[in-house]
Amino acid sequence: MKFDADKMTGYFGEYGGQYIPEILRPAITELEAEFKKAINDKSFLEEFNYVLKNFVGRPTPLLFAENATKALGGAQIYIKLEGLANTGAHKINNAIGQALLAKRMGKTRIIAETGAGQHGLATASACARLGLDCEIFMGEVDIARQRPNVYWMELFGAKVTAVTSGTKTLKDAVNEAFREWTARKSDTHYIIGSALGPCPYPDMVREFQRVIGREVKEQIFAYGNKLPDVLVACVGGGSNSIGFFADFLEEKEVRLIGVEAGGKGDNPGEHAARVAGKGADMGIVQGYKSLFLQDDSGQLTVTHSISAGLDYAGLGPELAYLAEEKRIEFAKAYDDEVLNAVKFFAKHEGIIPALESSHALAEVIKIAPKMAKDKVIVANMSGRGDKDIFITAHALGGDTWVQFLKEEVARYGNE
Amino acid sequence: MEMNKKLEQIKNKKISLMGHIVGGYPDVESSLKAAKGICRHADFIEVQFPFSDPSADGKVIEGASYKAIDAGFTVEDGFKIVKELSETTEAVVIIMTYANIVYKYGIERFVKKAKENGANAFIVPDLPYGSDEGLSETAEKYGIGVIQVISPGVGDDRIKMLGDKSYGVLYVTARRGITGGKTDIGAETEEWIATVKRNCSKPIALGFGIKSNSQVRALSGKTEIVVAGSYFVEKITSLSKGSDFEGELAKAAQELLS
Ligand SMILES: Cc1ncc(COP(=O)(O)O)c(C=O)c1O
Repeated sequence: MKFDADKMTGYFGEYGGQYIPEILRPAITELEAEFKKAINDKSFLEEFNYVLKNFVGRPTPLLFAENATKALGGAQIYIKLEGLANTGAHKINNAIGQALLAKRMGKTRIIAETGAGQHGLATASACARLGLDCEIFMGEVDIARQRPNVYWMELFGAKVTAVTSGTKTLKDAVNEAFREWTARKSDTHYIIGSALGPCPYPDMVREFQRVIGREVKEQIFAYGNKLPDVLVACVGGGSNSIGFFADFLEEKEVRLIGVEAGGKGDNPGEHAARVAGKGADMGIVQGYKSLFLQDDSGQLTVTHSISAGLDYAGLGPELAYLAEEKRIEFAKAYDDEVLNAVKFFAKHEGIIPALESSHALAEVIKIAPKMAKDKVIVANMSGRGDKDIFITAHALGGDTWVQFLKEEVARYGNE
Repeated sequence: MEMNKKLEQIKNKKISLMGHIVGGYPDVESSLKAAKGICRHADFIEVQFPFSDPSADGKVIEGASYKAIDAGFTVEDGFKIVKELSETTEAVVIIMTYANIVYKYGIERFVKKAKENGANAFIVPDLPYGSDEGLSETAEKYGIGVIQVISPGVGDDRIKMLGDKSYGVLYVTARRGITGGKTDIGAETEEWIATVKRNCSKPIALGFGIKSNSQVRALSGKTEIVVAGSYFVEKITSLSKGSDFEGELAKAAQELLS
């Protein structure tokens, strides 16, 4: 369904809204008005598409994963290689869209939160490309586990600020970015990296990510297929999934599956599965109403995932609504299943999916064998896994990797 | 004390104090004693019910909130503090918290419980007027209300509207940003106060970065109420277990007004 900006309410059923302190109202009102104008403005869209083509590298390929299909012996598996976009994930689509919008509003400075570092990286890259100052807020825990991205962000000229409050992960980085935004004058735009936050963010992020599904539709037809039977995407806040699903929401015969972080187990604190797991309830946090993992008093609970990008207590409001409507089914993948999926698809297809995306691929491994051979599954590989080398090489490479790191440190010692 | 009665009482006062503490920090008992001490000199007391993600607060109050939650703070503890303060002090007791704490408890249930325990007003920055889940309407039904918060950059029309809707007083932040930090009371602040005054006839409570008696003196006669939060929380942090929280905080409040 085409998006009608004039009818945007910020609500998806009961979910969404604009729960913001007064101090943010001028900035959010300005953003809302500008987004409504821009998304219907031909010249803005032309510029956006130009950058997507010539800088991001769109369209990203749709791979027919023939070897994996054979190995699993069921449905035909296609993988949208979104991770081949510049900076390695779908995050760049939204970062470019919002950075262009910020320029239109005359902003000179961008702030953003990041979990896995992919959104921070995309934002830093967009800012370098478009000539904007950039500061990225990142939890201390995430800095430690996604170090390569910190280095690249700094190379792009961004300032990376460590967030040491709360759980020191994604949600705390969001809080810190909001704090910074309230303190700044009108020169700053906050690029939220997922389909969450107060209106207009969920709508805006979906519109900038919609290109993923739009391309898939063309590409799957170009392979000579009809509509796919199943689409699978991982769900953190929900930006890659909603962008992937958006153009298929009306095609009721297409099953849509969102995969959440099953983490280490089903107890509170061990996972980040808001729909497919236990411990989430309706709440109002970080500007929107949705499902949040929380305790009986309304305090957000600690989350865990092997992937920094899915390790978030809240769920984008549109996803929560579509879960309630049963339009999107939710599943979860445990950490070990995720690592197994990385291994499986690397070996069979020569791709290195990000740990986040590997949640979707783990679900494919589960469902494909049970489906008939003429059925088609498309999974979104939202990112590539280069950034995860310190996690995957440690988990899968074992002693040789640790030995290498020790030797590397020793080499530095001799310099 | 009831809001309107208090406003009548402070009419001729040069400046009144609104103190702010974090409930349950460092523990329920000490936070209550600290608040009692502040109330010897303050006409209003804000009891913050801590939240895991206090995105409008700076390091000091944020840190205190985490400690209170880690120490096991519950909403019921908050009501206990409120009850004791409303029964033993002359201050208007205000509950300050974030949307999710009220929402999870249930709006009506929260308001009813607050009223029963003697609270007179609420401040919930992320339940803005117009999308407050019925908080102000419900509070009104119970004979209490919501104090609206405004900050520099908000337009005149919105100041008028929020001033009109706000319960008793209008909470005005002295500058942009979050709690804590420092605020210089200068020409810019005075201009901002004048803008608010032009659009709102209610008494205003000016807060954010109020930490010294010189600031309070500079504001005397310009704003009816000053709010101090991080100042008191820092004081509480400096005290060791078993200190005389009540006496020390009374002294801190007195110093601010001296
Ligand atoms: C590669 C990748 N996929 C997925 C996500 C999850 O976010 P979302 O649900 O918004 O797509 C992230 C977040 O950092 C990511 O880096």
